[in-house]
Amino acid sequence: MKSLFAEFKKGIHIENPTFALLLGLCPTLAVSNNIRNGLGMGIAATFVLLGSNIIISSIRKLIPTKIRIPCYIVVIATFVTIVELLLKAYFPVLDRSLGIFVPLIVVNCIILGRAEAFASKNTVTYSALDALGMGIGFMLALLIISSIREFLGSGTLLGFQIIQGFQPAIIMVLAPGALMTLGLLIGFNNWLKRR
Amino acid sequence: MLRFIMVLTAVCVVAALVLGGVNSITKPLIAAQKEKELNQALKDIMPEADRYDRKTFSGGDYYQCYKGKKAIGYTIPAIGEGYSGDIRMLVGIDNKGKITGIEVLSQAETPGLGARCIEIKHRENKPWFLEQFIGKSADSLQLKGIETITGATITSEAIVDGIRKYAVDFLKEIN
Repeated sequence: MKSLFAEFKKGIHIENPTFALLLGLCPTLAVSNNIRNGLGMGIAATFVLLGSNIIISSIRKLIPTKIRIPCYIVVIATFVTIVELLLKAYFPVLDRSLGIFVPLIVVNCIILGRAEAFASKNTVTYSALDALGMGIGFMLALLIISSIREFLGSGTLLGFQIIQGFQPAIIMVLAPGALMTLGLLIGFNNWLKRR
Repeated sequence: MLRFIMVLTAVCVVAALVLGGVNSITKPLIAAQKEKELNQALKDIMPEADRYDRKTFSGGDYYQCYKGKKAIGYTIPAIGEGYSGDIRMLVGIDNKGKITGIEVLSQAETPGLGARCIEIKHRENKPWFLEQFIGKSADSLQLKGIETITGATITSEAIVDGIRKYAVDFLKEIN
């Protein structure tokens, strides 16, 4: 049995959901245009991931294999709806800027992927650590991508102007900027791993 | 087979109960947030008024604004067809049909381009793009003479056209 820390650590670098597993790229590309959105999405997804991994691993022996996917989806959708309601009630500004991508966490393949690949086969403790590691890995990836894109595309970091007179490249906050940033970061990460 | 049905039903029942619980907690909070946002928006676009009476016209709800007992204008809803979805606005107009303020309630324009319609410049507290319309006639609003948003012609036009269309309809209806 692997150590608890290894289970947590793997999601952050070696099996990073964004840079290594290439899961959940749609929200990654869409909401990483500024840091606040990236961070908000990262926290929301981590909460859903943690909740669904804990519940799914604790009921894994009760659920027949044939209907496991619908059960997982119901559990995940429940957590996503909770997040959506909480965001609307307590962080309406963030809710408005994340928009449709909050309900779409339901179909974020990181979450169903971890439920299927990990939580359905492991104990609650391991699944919770796996969720935390993967969630933080996802959040860090979003943070890195969104920092680069916000700085180059809007000339700001977290909304604050960093360099006076810097002319931002609008392409960086648009879809091509997202794809280029992600591609280069994946390449960089692969190079790091290969050394 | 029966076991499948029972398990799925049980999962759904538990999920429904949990969601019902969360909803009953957040529902009043969400309603309060909406109310707060609306009141803030009304205050922003018609700062002189101290009372807002909700009324209805064909385009939706509008508010008649009073300062003391004097009716000083209206705030009307306006929707522009933006680059990615509707731009929902609240527009304040005085008795002469001149714009007193514009508030964007929701928009999904491209960040860095169209979304700059609500951009607030450093050391300012209102969006520079929308501020330009204050004092202009709502029912003949045009982009002419307005500093548009670079690379976001569709958004700029959507805002102007949306306001003009709703203002024309509204003024026709109440007069």
